[in-house]
Amino acid sequence: MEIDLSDFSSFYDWIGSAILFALIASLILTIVGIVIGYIVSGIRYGPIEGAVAVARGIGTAFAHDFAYFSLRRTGAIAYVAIKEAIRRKVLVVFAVFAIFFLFAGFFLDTESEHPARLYLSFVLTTTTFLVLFLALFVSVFSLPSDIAQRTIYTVVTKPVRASEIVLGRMLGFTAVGTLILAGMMAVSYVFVVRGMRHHHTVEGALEPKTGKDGKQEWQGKTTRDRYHRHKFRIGPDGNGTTEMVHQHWHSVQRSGDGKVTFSPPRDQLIARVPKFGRLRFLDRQGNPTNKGVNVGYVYEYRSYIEGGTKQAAIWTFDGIREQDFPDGRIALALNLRVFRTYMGEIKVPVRGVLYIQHPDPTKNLIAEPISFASQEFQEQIIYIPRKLYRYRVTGEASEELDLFRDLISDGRMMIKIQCDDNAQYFGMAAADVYIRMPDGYFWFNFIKGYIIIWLQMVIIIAITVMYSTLLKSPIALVATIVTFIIGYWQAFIERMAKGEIYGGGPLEAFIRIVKQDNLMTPLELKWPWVEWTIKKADWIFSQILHVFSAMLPTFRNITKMTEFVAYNYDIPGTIVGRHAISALAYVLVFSLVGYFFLKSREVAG
Amino acid sequence: MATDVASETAATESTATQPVIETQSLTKVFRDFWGREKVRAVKALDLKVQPGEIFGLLGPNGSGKSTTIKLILGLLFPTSGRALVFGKDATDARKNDRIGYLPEESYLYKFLNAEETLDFYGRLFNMPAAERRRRTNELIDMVKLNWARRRPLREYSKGMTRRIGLAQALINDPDLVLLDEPTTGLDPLGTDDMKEMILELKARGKTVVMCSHLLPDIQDVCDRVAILYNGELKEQGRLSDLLTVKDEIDVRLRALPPEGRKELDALVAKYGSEVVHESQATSTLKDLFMRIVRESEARPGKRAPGASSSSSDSH
Ligand SMILES: Nc1ncnc2c1ncn2[C@@H]1O[C@H](COP(=O)(O)OP(=O)(O)OP(=O)(O)O)[C@@H](O)[C@H]1O
Ligand SMILES: [Mg+2]
Repeated sequence: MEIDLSDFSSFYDWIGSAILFALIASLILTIVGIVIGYIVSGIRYGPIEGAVAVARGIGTAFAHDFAYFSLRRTGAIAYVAIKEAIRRKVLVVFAVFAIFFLFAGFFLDTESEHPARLYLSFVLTTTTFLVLFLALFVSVFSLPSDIAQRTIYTVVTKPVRASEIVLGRMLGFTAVGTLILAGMMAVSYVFVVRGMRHHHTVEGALEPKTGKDGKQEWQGKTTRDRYHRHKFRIGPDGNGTTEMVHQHWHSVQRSGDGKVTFSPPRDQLIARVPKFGRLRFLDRQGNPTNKGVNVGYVYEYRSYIEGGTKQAAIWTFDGIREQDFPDGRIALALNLRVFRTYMGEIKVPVRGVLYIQHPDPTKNLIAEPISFASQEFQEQIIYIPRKLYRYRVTGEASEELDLFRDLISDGRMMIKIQCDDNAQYFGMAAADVYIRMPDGYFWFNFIKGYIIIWLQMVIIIAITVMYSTLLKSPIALVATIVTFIIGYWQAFIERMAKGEIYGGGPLEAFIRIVKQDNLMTPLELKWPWVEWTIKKADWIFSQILHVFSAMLPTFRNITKMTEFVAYNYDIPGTIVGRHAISALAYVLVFSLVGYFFLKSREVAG
Repeated sequence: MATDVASETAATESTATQPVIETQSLTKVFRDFWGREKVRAVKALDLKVQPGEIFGLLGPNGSGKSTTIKLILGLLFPTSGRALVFGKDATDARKNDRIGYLPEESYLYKFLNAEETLDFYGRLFNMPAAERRRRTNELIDMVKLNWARRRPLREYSKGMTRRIGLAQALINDPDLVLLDEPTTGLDPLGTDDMKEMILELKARGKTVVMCSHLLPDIQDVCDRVAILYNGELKEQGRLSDLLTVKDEIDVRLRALPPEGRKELDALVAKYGSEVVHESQATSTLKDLFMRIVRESEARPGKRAPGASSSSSDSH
């Protein structure tokens, strides 16, 4: 999983830029809205009357409509929306979902190394898709059918405001969606927890061993259940643990009469709380640089450092408080990649060292390095003890250091990692090394994942209701899907607008498809002016699309948050809050647009 | 008509006050997607409805009655001209506080029952729960649907739907009630109830605008009527005036020997017969309506309201 650390920037950093963005976007939207409104009413009433109508429309909106907002009227609309949704048998969707899950176990029970991740991704993805489609279908038919069947006549001739009709629908469908999503969440939770539960027994006999101090110990292996088995050791006191396989381990107990029992799986469904740092590099000569080596992939999330040189990766962690580490040590999680330039024994790990150094380089205070052997494909935890010794040149007297008092200054800790094996490389991104804070609750993280899904659902409902104030349901349906896709591929569209995508814009790409051209070759058409026109048209289209997409919710980033749950990372509460605030802002904007749409159309036309 | 006196006073009072509805050369053109003209449904309509009167809109099918009502309610936007209700623009949602509307067909949520329907519309008027409950009970009693109050409207017959439609139009005890063909679908008893109810509204000082084809209904309740033909106003005025034929006298005679009939005018006195009743002759509304329709067909184009009748609108 690739983690974008800008997601983790502080809430205060974010809110500033978010407000700025919201202001700019609202300004653009307002101008576009007024221009379109003027064009429409100008055609209808002529240039001057049209301007008057637009001005009056805006004035009316605030003076007569928003100012008289009534919760009771909105609630009435919401109530009917709920009744209508239930009448449309949306609950059937939920039943289908539940039945689907009853049988999902059959095809999910694979030999995956990460069963928890697999199960969690499965439930989260399934729920997201189902709920978003449900949201879309529940809300897209409502207003258009009210207009087609003219039930709207008896509604809009009451003092209910267009804004309340729009908002009430959004609320009603959100209520229905929430209910169904909550049900899905409960089913999913049980499904995952039960899916992970399994039991082992001992395979064969226990193998007695004599421990270091001559005491009796045992080792053995478990039966193969759910496509895996564990090796385990039992200490002289009869307690032991198994190895970590398939993201989990069991504790083992041997009773006096020789019977061995295993606990349920441990550490499989957790919420790791990472504290990320900033990453910079030193080059081969030991000088600062902002990138390591690129080992040849086109797009690199990670940079690499070479073994046996002065190349190093340095993380700076801020805001470390002693009280957050009650047992005095700091757990550092390492997820380094290994890149081998020669084919050694693949099983032999690559060795590395880790230095803790005082953030102020003038102090020249470094602790004795901690050596480690890389564990590929598995997270490795290194505990940094409180008591450390100063790194010294041979002959100097040893000096004891306290991690928190001597090496961490103003909450800042610096860690340097180097690769020890010649011509081997470590690959890393900023998020690959982090301080592991005490775990959060898995169930709570699971709920946070569903809150993220819920927020997307709310946005989709708002978009759908907005479109359905103006468009017939099939068109509103398509419009919502297109909007979602444009929002989802925002990053791609941005690159396209900047000309970074091979193969050009949509027109050029279409011609390439027809001509069966390679994406990399220059587009060589017979007539240069055609090529020029196509490129210009593509450019203009991309720019417009870019502006439009940049104003939409970044669905991809929101969806990515649910991956956190699948990868056993805790979703930071501030990120949930951040998405909640933007979702709220979007709902507000979409209801405003919906209000103006509804107000400007002839309901009986 | 029993309420003539009342309407007379209401009308004289109202000349000083603001009209409840005022349309100023209200015009509606329906266009197709490309902006081409399809129908000119309402043409430069000037109407004034005064507080406390029952105003009838009549005209043949497709003459623009419903369109006019929709323009007055803001369901449609005028192509030119404007409609004012209580002095406010027709698109102003605030006017709806005092309006009740019964559409041509009762467009209600079929999955709600009578109680839920009235409760829903009550909420749209921001009524507190207790008041909603009270109004709901009152109205369900009034439209005589007590026996079916818990049944979803999808199961209602046409007349029952009409009744609940009327109930929802009155939920806010409106000052202005717009009824689009209120009696269609009702049985004779229901029709009588409806008329009685309209007169009762008037007695309580409300203003009613209704359109209907059923001329006897209009004749029974309306104070003033406007006759539309092809979107144009053909006639407007006090019903009693419109139906009065000034140069004719109704004479009802008793015991006139058959031979005397030939020389009746000259011989009434001579033969010593007794004049039982003498009044201005009136035609029926149906006669008037048919004449206007025939004249309009024969001579299309604008016709000065009141031209055919001996008296025009007195306002
Ligand atoms: N939404 C619309 N689109 C296009 N034309 C319309 C629309 N509504 C009404 N019309 C046309 O406007 C004209 C007047 O229609 P309207 O419904 O006002 O007649 P009406 O007097 O109420 O008739 P009826 O007595 O049959 O109810 C008709 O020609 C009708 O076809
Ligand atoms: Mg009609």
